[in-house]
Amino acid sequence: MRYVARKLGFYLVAAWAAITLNFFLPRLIPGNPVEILMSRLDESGSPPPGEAHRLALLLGVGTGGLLSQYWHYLDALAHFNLGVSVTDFPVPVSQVIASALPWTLILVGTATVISFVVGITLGAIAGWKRGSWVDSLIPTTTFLTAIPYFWLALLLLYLLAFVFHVFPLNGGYGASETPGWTWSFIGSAIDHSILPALTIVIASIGGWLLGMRNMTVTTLSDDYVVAAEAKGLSPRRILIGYAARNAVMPSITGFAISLGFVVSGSVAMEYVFSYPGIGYELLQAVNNEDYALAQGIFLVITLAVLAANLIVDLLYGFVDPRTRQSR
Amino acid sequence: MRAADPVELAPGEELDPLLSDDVVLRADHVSVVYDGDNPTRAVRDVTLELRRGEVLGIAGESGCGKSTLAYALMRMLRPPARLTGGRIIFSDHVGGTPVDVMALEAEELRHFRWRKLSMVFQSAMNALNPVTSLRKQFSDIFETHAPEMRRDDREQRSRELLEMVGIDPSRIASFPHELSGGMRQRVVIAMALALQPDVVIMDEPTTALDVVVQREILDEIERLREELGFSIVFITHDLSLLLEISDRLAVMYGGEIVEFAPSAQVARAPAHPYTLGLLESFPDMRGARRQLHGIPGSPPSLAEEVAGCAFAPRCDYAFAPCASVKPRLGERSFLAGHGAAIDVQGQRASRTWSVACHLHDPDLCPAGPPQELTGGDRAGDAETSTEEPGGVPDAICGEEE
Amino acid sequence: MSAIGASTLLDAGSAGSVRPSGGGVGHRGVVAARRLLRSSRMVVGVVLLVFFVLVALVGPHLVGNPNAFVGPSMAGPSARFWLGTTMPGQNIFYQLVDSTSGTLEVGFVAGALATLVSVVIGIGGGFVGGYIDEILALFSNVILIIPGLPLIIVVASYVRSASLLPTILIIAFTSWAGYARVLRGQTLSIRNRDYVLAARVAGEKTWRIIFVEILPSELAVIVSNFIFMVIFAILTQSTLAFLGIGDLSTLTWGNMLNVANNDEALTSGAWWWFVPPGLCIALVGTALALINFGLDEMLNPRLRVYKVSKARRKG
Repeated sequence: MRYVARKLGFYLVAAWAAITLNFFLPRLIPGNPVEILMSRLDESGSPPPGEAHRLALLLGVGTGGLLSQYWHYLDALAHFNLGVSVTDFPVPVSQVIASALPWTLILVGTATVISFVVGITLGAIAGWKRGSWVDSLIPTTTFLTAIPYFWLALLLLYLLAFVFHVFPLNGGYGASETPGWTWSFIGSAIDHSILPALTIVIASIGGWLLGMRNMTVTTLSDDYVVAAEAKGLSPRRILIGYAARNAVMPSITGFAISLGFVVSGSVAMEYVFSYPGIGYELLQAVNNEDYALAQGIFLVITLAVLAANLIVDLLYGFVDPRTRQSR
Repeated sequence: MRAADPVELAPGEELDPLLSDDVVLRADHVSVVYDGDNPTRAVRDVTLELRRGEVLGIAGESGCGKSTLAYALMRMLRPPARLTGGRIIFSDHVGGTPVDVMALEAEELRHFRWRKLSMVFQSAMNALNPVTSLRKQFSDIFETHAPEMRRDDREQRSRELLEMVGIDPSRIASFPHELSGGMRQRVVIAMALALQPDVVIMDEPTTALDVVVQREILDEIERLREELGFSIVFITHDLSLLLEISDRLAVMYGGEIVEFAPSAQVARAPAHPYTLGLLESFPDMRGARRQLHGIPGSPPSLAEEVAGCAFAPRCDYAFAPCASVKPRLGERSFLAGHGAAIDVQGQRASRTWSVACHLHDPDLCPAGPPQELTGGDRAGDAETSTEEPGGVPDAICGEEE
Repeated sequence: MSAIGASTLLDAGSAGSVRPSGGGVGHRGVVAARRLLRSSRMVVGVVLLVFFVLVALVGPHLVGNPNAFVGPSMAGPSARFWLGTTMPGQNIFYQLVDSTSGTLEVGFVAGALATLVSVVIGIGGGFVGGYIDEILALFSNVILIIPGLPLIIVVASYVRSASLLPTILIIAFTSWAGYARVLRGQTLSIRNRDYVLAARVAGEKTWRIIFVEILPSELAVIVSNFIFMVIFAILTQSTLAFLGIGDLSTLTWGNMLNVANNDEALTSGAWWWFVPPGLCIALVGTALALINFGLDEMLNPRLRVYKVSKARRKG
């Protein structure tokens, strides 16, 4: 399976690049971030012993040559040690991330998948019936893709939470709720997630719709579709099994690429809704000069995007039999 | 068709399909136009018929409208192509109710397609869905037209079909890109025969293949035809191929049929100057060496209307009426009018043939067509010709130049 | 961020049937221009864009000082203050007009820079081939896959600078990779076409081959790239400004939204403050997207929606 091997290889390289980039970032910046961080830590309370040293390693100031620092860095990473957070002192960074990550994953993940599936379906229909009502959606969705994510979020928040009190104004769950696997909590969480999810879907559906429509139009004039019609196959079978099945390929590739953008967009969206996800934490960290947390989050986000990309790429390999050829 | 002279059958002899009046598919004054800024009349008042069990060849250069005609027969025309006149009649069996293909409702049409009338497309590799296996593509056909078939039956039937065209049945799990060109063509043929249709339209099925594979495929087609008994409309630009495999053939030029006759006759006595020109364009493998001619000039643009005969500008035998009067496809018979009785070797002759040429019109051309167009010696037959090769005979139809 | 990037990459791929321009560019230009004008979407896009550019150039001279505290706090639109006032009492309309140039400047400069890098790496790598191309392609893919905004956020948090330049640079250098990939793909296929091979055999200099034979075919894709890069840069900068990252002194629409959010415009119901800047961003983006679609339709006739009669496939 050369395809799989190639993909894995690439993602390993990319992961290494991300980790190394993360390592170099603070070193590229003038000034001594460790001192800043240490003084902040001191303000919050006495940091655990050896923390200064660990931070120094993490942020690149201190003993040993570059290479030894790098090794220690990798070693720390392997133990999931990303330092201690200033914002939520003395909680370790990894813990902060672990508690925030599920919120983002569930919200953004679900919303993106819904947007993709609905967009592709509508796009296929639009391509199939040229000149139908779906075609008239196109100018609107064009407009939507030009809107900044966060502004759309603001608008929706204003209209649906402030003016018409349909949805809650902020947060991941009601202020009176305590996190836990209770219906009350879950219900509240869902309630708080609808608006953010809606924002993501509205903002991104246009791209899928348009891409799929164009591809479907092209595919419909391909010979095998004409042949399928000659065979008397039902229109539904032709659309799904012959036209859409081929037309969706570029969109799957596009989906992988768009995951990075989706994550970026979710940062702003979580900020607007004060949604307790990983993007929100990142912004907090940056505002508090909590470098350890910021870098930790960046690394986790990057690796998550890489993993998602890998999954989608493998899925593509599964869907398109031509890649299985060991050419 | 006029009534036949009665034919005596020897004991135990069967009626040759060529003699039967059993027509399975008929195109009646069919015209197709491509709409647009410059409308193109791709098919002009074409009348053809296909008899049960025969191979009907349609020959013509690219751009003469033959593929468009094929799609029209299957009612597969897509915008901007549009049928502007004529009917397409399909007859299931002798004495059965004829079906007007154009009048079928959508569901009836789907039901009709592939079961009665199927098609082998020009480029097989593009006619197969690249992302699904052969098994799935066969299965689609069966699921649509024979929903009562169980999965095992479908699998078995599909494998049988592959075997029938000479492909290892285990390849059923393959994808199109894993097969060679020749194999793909066989698969497409197998699919076309899956429901044992009455008629198969083949649009240049072997053009994209090399000569050796071409021969194999053609043999395969002939074998299958004998075994399963379907009729074929075989479309190609390769006239020599048609002379070999078809029973009757139609020559298309400029969107019209200019000659329609048994192929043996066309080989021996082409009636239309264009057909003559085509025949002289390729060598006879085993015949005498002779000089080859092309046909100077190029085919007319189908977007333009030509007064008179479309072939006249390139015709060696054009005379006065050709530039202004359009020739109609008229029937001739062996034993009446001009043209000697042709002894078509080894084959019972059909009673009539058709040609659209003023040379064969006794009113316009009293002297009769030149020798070459009545089965006499052709210009360029080095052994017997006394003329300069390519020379134009003088005094066409008795007129002085 | 929306999936604009994604859909463009798909479309750019399908516009691969570009022919070499050869001679007669002038005449083809006239024909193309006429066809462009027939596309109403294109016309709308161009008009909108021109409008904003004019505002950017001329506007600041026509309005008063946007930073002056001239009015009541958070007042709604009125005859005196067309779009009301901010919390400290500044004229929102003046701010809106003044922000145009800042926003557009970031967009176009970052977009141009990103396009330039993607052209050099994409076409250069595709043309040169071999190991260099493989490495460049790998490099592009890695950059492409690392999520841009979090990276920019982290970097920007370290570099606290007072000008737009670092923002422009960072945006440009994290966004070129997508189109570099597309251009590389195109170049690879063009490179093997007969007329390029002929040029090489004839001994044409490399740079001449690139500029005269290859670039013209890819011009359409490059222009499309540029337009989307500009949209992307504007959206990214606005988002960064809104989040409070990067240069906050120059007036941009994103900045306005940042201040509006911090000053609780939403919960005060001061829609006249946070709606107009976002709307302007959306309009500029839409204008550019429409222009891009006009170009797309021009190149790929199958996408044009003809006004066909209802006579469907009968026949």
